[in-house]
Amino acid sequence: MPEFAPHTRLRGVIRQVRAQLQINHDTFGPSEVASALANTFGVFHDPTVLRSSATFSADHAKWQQLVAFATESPDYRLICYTVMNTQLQAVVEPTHGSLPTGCQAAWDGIRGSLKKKKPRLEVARLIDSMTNRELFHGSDGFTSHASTLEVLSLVSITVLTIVYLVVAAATFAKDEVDTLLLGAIPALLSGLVALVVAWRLHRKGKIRWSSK
Amino acid sequence: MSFASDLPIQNFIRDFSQAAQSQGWSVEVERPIGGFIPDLTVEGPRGGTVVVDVQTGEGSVHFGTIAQLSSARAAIEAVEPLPVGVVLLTSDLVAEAVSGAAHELGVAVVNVDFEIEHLGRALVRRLLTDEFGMLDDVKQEFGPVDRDDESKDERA
Repeated sequence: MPEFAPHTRLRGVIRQVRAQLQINHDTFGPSEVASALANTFGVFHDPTVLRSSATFSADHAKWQQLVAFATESPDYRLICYTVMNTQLQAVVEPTHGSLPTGCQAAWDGIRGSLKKKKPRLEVARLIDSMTNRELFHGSDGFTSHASTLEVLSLVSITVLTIVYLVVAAATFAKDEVDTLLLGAIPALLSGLVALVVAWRLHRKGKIRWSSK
Repeated sequence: MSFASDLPIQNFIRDFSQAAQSQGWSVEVERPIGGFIPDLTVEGPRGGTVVVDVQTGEGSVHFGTIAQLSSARAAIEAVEPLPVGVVLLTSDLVAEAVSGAAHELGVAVVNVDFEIEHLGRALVRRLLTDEFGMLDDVKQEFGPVDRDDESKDERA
C-alpha cells in the first residue's frame, strides 16, 4: 500500500482557493439564464475573463465555447455554466477581495437574476485548487443558520424556561403564574428572536460557512 | 476529496495499487506534481503518467472540478516529458453537460461504485489498456486482456 505524502511537502506553497456553487431553479433555458445574469450584473458576458482565471486559463479557448456567463469585478471573478434547464453551476475566484465576500456577492447577483425561477443554493464549497479538496462548506438554509452555537444556546434557554414555567405553575407557584410569566419574558423571547434572526439570514440568502 | 479515513476507498486504493504494480506500474498517493497534488499518480515503466482524482459524497460533479483537472494536466505536462492522462473517479452524479465538457477537455470521468469488490483491478485494465486510449503507447506494454479474469471481475 503506498504511503501518504507527508504534509511537510506542502510547506511554503501558496494555496489557491476557489468556490464552487450549485444552484437549482425552475426551468429556464441557458440563453435566458445568461441574459438574466448579464442584466443583473450590469455587464455583458466577457469570455476573456477565462484567460486570467487560474482554473480555466489552461484551456480557456475551449471553455469560452462552453460557459454561459463570465465576468470579473475588482473583488471576484464569476464563471457560470448551465448544467441543465434547472441547474446552474458557478465558480467564484478571488481577484483582490476576500473569497467568502465575493461568493456572497456572486450568490446575491445570481439570486436576483433568477428571482422569478425560485433559485436555491444547493451547495457552496471552498475548494483547495491544489488538491481539489473541500475546505469549507457553505449553505444559506435555515437549518444552517439555526444550528449555530449562539442560536442553539438561546433556544435551549427558552425551552428550559418553558419546562420550568410549566412545573412551577403546576406546583409551588400556582398562585403567582402572572408574576412568573412576566419574569420569564426575556428568556422566552431570546430563543424566539434568535430563530427570527436565523430565518431572516436564510431569507436574505446569507451563506454560512463551516468546516467539514 | 479526502479518503484517508474512508475504508471502501482505502480498499480500492490497495486493490488498484496492487493491480497496477503487477503490470509494472507504480502508484503514489498524494504526490505533488506540477504544482498539484492528485489523489493518485500512476506511472508506467516507460514514463507514461495517469493522474487520478477521487471524488465521492459531493452529490454531483461540478464543472469547476473538470476545469481544475484539465488545468492540472497542462501544468503536469509542462514538467513531464510524455502526455499525461487525467481521470476523475467518482461515485457522484455526472450530468450530461459536465461529462460533455470533460470529454471535450480530455478528462476521463469514470462513474464507479466504491463498494464493488476488485474494482481496482478492473479499473486498471480499463484505464490503462482498453477504453480510454489515453496512453496508446502504453498499450504495447500490456498483453491482451485476460477474458477469464474480466468475467471474474464482472461476477464480483
